[in-house]
Amino acid sequence: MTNIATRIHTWLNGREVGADEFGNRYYCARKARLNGRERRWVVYKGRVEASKVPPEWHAWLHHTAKVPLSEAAAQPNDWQLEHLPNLTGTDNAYLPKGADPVGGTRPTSGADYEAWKP
Amino acid sequence: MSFIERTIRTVLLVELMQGMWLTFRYMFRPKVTLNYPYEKGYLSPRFRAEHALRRYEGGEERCISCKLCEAICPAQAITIEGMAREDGSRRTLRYDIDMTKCIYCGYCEEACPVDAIVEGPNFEFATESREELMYDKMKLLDNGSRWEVELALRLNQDKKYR
Repeated sequence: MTNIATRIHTWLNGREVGADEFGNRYYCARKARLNGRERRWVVYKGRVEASKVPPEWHAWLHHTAKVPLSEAAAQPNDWQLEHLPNLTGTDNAYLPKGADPVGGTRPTSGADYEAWKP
Repeated sequence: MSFIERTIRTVLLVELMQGMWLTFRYMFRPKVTLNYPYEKGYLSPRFRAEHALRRYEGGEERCISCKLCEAICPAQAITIEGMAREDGSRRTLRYDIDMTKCIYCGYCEEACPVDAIVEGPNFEFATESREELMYDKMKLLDNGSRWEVELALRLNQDKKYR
């Protein structure tokens, strides 16, 4: 849930720039600047979670790109995948092959050693 | 400083008032704080955070298992095992990065001859458990295919300085 101060700020100063496919809406300030840069912010859909911003808007939000990369993102190669937020703490979190919850065994590697058995 | 002057300064709380005056003046300075997580700070195209393994446009993975990144890694966070694939091309069998060892120096990215391993712009990958930070090849390629739009932009912005 967006906090009240951000909502008021969005209502008073925000100019909507666009929205991503997940429903997060992006705003820039009509006038206000911060440290010489345009103020840009996002109003998240649902839970406020910083890693929910997909890369095409991530570049814009972080001032790396002047405009969102929606054009480049609109024609993905067939191997490109949809953005995922940070899934830690959920059942879908990434775990390496040797982790206990996924079996605790991993394929042997050349870096493994054989224990000395006298 | 004479005894009298020192006593006067103590009784009148001069130092305290000087400090309070400085604090008061800062109320009228322009604010420099960001409203995170709604608002985020500037990131350079060279900003180094979570790693990703990139692919060519056709989908072929770039990494050729040359192990230059493994050799240069000052923290020895990278482990690579190479092999020849069925078609005879040299690929990695395993490509592990221990993100808890990594010091995010960016040497792996600089050493890579094919722009395969890059340090992406995503720094919001904190985890609840330590084992989630032992990245394997699957996870790194997955990062690459999710972040490619921005990775390509960053490399393009920085290419004239490389």
